[in-house]
Amino acid sequence: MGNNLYAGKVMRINLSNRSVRIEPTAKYLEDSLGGRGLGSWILFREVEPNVGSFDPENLIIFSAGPLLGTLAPTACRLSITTKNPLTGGLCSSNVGGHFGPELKFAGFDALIISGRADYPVYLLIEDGEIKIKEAKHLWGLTVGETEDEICSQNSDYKIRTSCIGPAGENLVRGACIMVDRGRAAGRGGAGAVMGSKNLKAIATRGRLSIKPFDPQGFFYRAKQCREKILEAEIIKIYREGGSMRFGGAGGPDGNFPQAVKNYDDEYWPISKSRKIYEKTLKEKFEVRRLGCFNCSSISCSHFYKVSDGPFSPSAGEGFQINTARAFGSNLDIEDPNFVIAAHNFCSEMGLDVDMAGACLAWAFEAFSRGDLTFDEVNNLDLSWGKSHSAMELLKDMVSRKGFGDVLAEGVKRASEIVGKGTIDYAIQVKGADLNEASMRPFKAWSLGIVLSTHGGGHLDGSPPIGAFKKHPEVAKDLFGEPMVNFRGRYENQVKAVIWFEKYKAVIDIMGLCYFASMWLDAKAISLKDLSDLFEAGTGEFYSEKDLMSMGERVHNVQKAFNTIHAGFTREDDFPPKKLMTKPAQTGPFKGDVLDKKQWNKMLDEYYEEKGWDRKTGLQTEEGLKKIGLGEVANKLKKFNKIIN
Amino acid sequence: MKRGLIEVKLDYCTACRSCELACHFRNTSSFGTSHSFIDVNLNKATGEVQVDFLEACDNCREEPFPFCYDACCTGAITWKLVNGGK
Repeated sequence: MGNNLYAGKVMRINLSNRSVRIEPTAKYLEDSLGGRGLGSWILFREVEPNVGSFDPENLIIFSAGPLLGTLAPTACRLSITTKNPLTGGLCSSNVGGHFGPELKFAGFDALIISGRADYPVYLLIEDGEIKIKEAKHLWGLTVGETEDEICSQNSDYKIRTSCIGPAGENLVRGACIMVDRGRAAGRGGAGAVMGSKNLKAIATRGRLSIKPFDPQGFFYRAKQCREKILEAEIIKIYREGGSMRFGGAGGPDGNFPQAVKNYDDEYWPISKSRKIYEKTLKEKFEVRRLGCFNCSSISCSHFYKVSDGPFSPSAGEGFQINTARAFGSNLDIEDPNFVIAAHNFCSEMGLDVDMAGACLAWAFEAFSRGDLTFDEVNNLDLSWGKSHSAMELLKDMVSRKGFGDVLAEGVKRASEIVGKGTIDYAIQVKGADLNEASMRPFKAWSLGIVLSTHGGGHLDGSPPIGAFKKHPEVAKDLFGEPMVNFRGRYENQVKAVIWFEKYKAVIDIMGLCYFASMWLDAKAISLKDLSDLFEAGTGEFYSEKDLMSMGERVHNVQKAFNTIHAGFTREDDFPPKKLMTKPAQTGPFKGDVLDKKQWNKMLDEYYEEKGWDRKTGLQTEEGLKKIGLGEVANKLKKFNKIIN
Repeated sequence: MKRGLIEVKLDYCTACRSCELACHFRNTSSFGTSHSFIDVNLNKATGEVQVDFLEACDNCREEPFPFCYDACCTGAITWKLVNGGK
């Protein structure tokens, strides 16, 4: 394959000895076409299970896909892959903004970073060159301060940054990497891994160009995709009000399920939720809408500013549906000033909103049950609804002060430290803290969350809620089942979950955003569109089937990494206990619960369909060889973690 | 010589830089932003946006319409022919 659509180079940086090696990207394209695939394969091959997340031998890989930086709409998503400090398995994170395209324009498709610097450093990557620069003066600064300082020091305000805040420096296990100040590679603790390497930031500036094979053909196809996005009904809602308008704080009618009081319920009364709903925030706090690179067709981000009251001043972007849940309904806090300020605080500190929200909700519940007392939680009143206590606890998490040090370990470890049965209401899967909506009512959605190779989360196999309701014919055609993600439905949902595992892997390989894809709207960017764009861009043809096979292989590589490193089996593939034992209490979803027997049936069906072992959930030699993954089978065999 | 009139409504701009990318493509048939005649800047602390068109911009006079106008879906860039298409 030629270099069309690629920058053509991959850079390896060893921070321990400051060595740099440049390799051709083509070397890595046999297994996948880039992005999440490239990162996953390298991590699988090069990091052994005796290496801890914070060991210098762990890698952190920033990898762009072929469509990233191009005219294809939403071509901005960069994959970040490393060993996950929360789960011990895979961190496969993904971020938008402008950093990814700038990295490609600076001449690199991927950065593979190993080692640990003797003192804090940052990388400056500019038009094919790299400098490893001292960052002692940046250590301790917030994300915004870090970016400002780097731009100022280099007299260039067009530099794009990817950096950590104090949370990453302090190895908070849910620390994230912040890109362009307001976009988070949130899930999986990659920020803590950067911190462990004494790597404060990566700054990049690119003036080079990416060449397409057929410029006019690519232009035409990209325009067609943009028009599809503009016509798609659900994406229109996101364009008008972001994910918040779709389902945030209960959605347009207040009846969209939400996690309430550490998942005690799925419904928050309208008298509370309307205070945090998108239209309310727009009126009182929105400065403007913002978009990631080349995303004029959606631009889902909001820039909110809190000007008055105890949580002011606070300003920043990136507020999505999950924030309203993490700092609103799940803590029973109805003050929008706090919810926005908590979000902006997490961005500045480089802390994952989902992880932080899950930790706080668990601590609030433990306090309400008497499992934690006032003097055990830094003398804070963690009664539901206490916004000031929540803000103080967030600060303590970042600085690892007192009880904050316990929470910084993530909810699973924290509940093990505290004991007293608090694990029973720790909302986590495989050690990954969860802040997800709708888990009790929508079974396919939940299955995707729990089986995610990221540990837990909706950005893997979870089919969308609503996308196929108006297009059952598309669902029937793709999954053999028109009723995908209908409330309460366990039957025939597995094929859709598996389809989305592959499809979303392809989207991540290419470098686009799920919000422009069929994950959000059945009429949005399809596999055929991706195949056409790639062909126009490179002159190489990959059929829809080829792409899905690639996605399937990447998903299997990620699964194998988790098996070898974290030892996950079928026993780990269950939802948090509370969701299986305590039905939703009130509102339109009252009575909904995840039934263990039905869940077991879905698991059986899932493993069968994947070619994995039903009893253990492990991959099989036969199944892996069938999809061309003999190498993966051999490695699993070496660790005795495969079924013959 | 410019053709028609391009106007920017900053309130609608989301700083996504689709216009920069499209302009670079028009000038080079490749993807990047360094050869763009448009410069979009976002103040990340305040949310303020600035959009500048360089002198070299001719409003894509040999094209059916300016590439930046075509790429912008937010309504921030508007374009109209004036003086009989000049």
